[in-house]
Amino acid sequence: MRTKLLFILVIILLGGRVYTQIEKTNLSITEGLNDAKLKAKIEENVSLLLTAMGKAMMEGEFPNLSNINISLDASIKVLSLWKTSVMICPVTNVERKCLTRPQGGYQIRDIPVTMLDAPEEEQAQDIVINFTDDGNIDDILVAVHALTDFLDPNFSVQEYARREIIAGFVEEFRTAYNTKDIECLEKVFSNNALIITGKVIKERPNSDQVLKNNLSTERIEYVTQTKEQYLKKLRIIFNAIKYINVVFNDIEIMKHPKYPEIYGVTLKQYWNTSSYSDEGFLFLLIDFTEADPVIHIRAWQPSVFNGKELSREERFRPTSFGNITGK
Amino acid sequence: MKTSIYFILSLFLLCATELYAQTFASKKLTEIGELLHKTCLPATDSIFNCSQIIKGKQLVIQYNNKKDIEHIGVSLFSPETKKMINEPVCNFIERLMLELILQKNAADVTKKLQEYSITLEEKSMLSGDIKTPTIQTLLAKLQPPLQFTLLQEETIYYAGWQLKNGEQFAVTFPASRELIFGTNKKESDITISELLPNNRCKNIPENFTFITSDELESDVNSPNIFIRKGQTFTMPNLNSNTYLTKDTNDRLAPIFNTDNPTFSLQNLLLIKEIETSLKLHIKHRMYGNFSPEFEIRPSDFICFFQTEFDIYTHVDDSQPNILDATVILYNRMFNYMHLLTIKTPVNTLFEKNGILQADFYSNIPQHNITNLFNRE
Repeated sequence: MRTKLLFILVIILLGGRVYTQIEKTNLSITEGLNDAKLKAKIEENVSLLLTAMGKAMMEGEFPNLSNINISLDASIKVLSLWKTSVMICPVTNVERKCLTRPQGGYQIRDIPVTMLDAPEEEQAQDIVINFTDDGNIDDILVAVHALTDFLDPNFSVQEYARREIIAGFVEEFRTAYNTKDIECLEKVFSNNALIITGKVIKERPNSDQVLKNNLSTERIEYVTQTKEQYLKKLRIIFNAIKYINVVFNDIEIMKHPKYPEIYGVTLKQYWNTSSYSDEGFLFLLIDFTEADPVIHIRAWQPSVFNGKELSREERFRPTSFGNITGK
Repeated sequence: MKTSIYFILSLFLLCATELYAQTFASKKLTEIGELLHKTCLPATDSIFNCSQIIKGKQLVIQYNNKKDIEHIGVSLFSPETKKMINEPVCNFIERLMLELILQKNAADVTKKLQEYSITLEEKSMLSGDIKTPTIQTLLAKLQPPLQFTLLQEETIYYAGWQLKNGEQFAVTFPASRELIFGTNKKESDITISELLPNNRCKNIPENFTFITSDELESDVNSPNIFIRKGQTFTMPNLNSNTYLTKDTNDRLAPIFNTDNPTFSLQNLLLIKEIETSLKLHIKHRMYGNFSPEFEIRPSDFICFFQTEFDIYTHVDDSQPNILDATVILYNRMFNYMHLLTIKTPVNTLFEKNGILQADFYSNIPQHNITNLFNRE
C-alpha cells in the first residue's frame, strides 16, 4: 500500500513538473502599438516561439517553428542559436513595450532567456525580436557581447571552422563503415587506439534487491579491444553482410579541457545491416595534432539501460579516460 | 540448328542488355539495382512499364554521359514539373517509392523508413483519421487529377498529395544531402573534384553604381570606405559583408588595394568581378586522407558555388603580416556545407600571379549536428 501511495505521489510530482516546464509562455504588449489585430499577432508569434523553445528543451529536439509566422532567415537564426546553446524563457508572462523601427517594422526588446550551455554566470541573457510591418518575426538577436563573451576566445571563427572540419571527419568515418572500407578505417584509428564496447548484461534480481525495491536487473559490461582485434572482427562482419547503413545523429563536439588539439565527439549511432540492427551512443576521442586527424578511442554504449535512455552524465566524455592519449 | 543459333543469339542479346544496364552511378542505385528485374530496363532515358516490378505504374530511368544509370524510380513527375518544383527532391521521391516497392514485406518497408527517418501518412477526409498507408495503397491512389505540394521547413521536407476526393498523403523526410541525392561523401567528393578544377565563370559583371546608399554603411574610421552589409552565419563576424569605395569619378568599386588587405581578401572571396592574376592553390581534403591539389582563379571558385550556396567569409588579421581566411559555402536546400581555409602572407595578395594556399573540405552534413560548441 505504501509503495502504491509513493508511486502515485511520484506520478503527480512528475506530472506537475512537466506541466510547469512546458506550459505556455505569454507576451503582453503594454504600449507602442494601437492596431489590435497586429498587436495580437505579434503577441502570439512571440508566445509560440518561447513556448516552442521550452518544449524543444524538454524533448531534446530543435524548436518546431512550423506554426509561427517567421521568415526563413529568422528560423535559421533560431536554429543556429540553438546549436550554440539551448535557450528557454524562465518566466511565464512577459510584459513589454513594442518599438517601431525607423527602417520599418517593429521590435520587442529585453525578453529574458536562459542559455543553458553558457557558463553559469552568463546564462541569463536578453533577446531582441524584430518584426515585419505585418507582424511576422523577421530577426532574433542575442546581445552580441553575450554570444561572443562565451564564444571567445575558444569559439573564434577559426575554432568554429575546426569543429566543422571535425564534423566532416566524422562523416568520413561513417562513410568508411557504409562502404566497408577497412583501409580507410585503418588510417583513421591511431596505432594504439582503444575500442570499448558496452554490452548490457541482464541479471535476475536477488531477494535482497527485491526487498530494497532495487529492481535494477541490468548492468553494462565493457569489453576493450585493440585496433587490430577490432578491425579483424569488422572484416569478418563486412564479409558476412550484404547491406550496411550506419547513421549518425545528435552529434556534439567538445574540446578536451587540457589538450587543445584533442576533441571529443558524442553521437547517436544507428547500425543497420541486412541481418542485425541496434542503436547506441558513440564517443570518439579525436587527435588533431597532425594534418590528418586520428581516433584514439572509440567507445560504444547502449542507448537504453534499465529501461531508460542513458543519461548525459552516464555517457563518455573527453575526460572519462584520463591520460589515455599519452600526452 | 537454326533454332539453336537464334536461341544462342537471343541469350547473348539478353546478357548484353543485362550487363549494360547493370552499371549504376552510385552505391545507392547499385543496391536498388540488385533488387531489380533488369531485363525490363531500357538502354536509353525512358518512361516504361515493367510488370515484374510494379503493375499499373510506370518507371523512369535516366543515364548520365558515362552511360551509367543516374536515376531510376516510379514515375510520378514530368520533367517540367521536376524543374519547376525541385528536381533532386522529385527524383528522390521517385527513387524512394521504387526502393520501398522492392522491399520483401511490410516489416522491411517500416524498417527502411525508420532507417531514413521518413514518415508516410494518409489522412482520410471523412473521418480525419491519420494512418500509415502501405506503399502499394499510396502508389495505387496517386492517379491524376491530384495536387502536389512540396514544403521545406528548415531541415525537414513535407511532400503532400491531395486527391480529388480530398484524401491526403504526405511524406516527411530530412533535408539531408546524402538521403536526397543518394550519394555518400566519398562519391560527392569525387564529383566535386572532377568538376571544380575545370570550372570557368560565365562572367556577368555586377554594376556597383546601382547600389543605393541605403544598402551601405560608412566605416567610422575611414569615410571613403562603405560596407555593403550581407548576412551573418552562426557568428557575427562570419558574414557576407563586402567593402566598397568611390573612385575618382565618384563610382562605387570593391576595395582591393594594399592599404586595406583584410577588406581586400574578404572582397576577393565574395565578389567574382575583382580583376586579379591571383590563383588559389587548393588542397582538396577528400574522403580517405586523399588530398589532390589544383589551381583555380578565385572568381571561378565563387562562380562554381554561388547559385546554390550562400557564401560567408571571415578574415583574421591578428598575426603580423598574415591573413587567415575562413569561407563557408552553405547549401540551405540540402543543409550541408563546404569549407575553404586560406592562410597567406599579406604581400602575396597583391603579387602579380600570386598564389594563395588553401585547404578545401567538402560535403560536411549539418542535419545531424546538435551542438558544435559544447564544453567539457
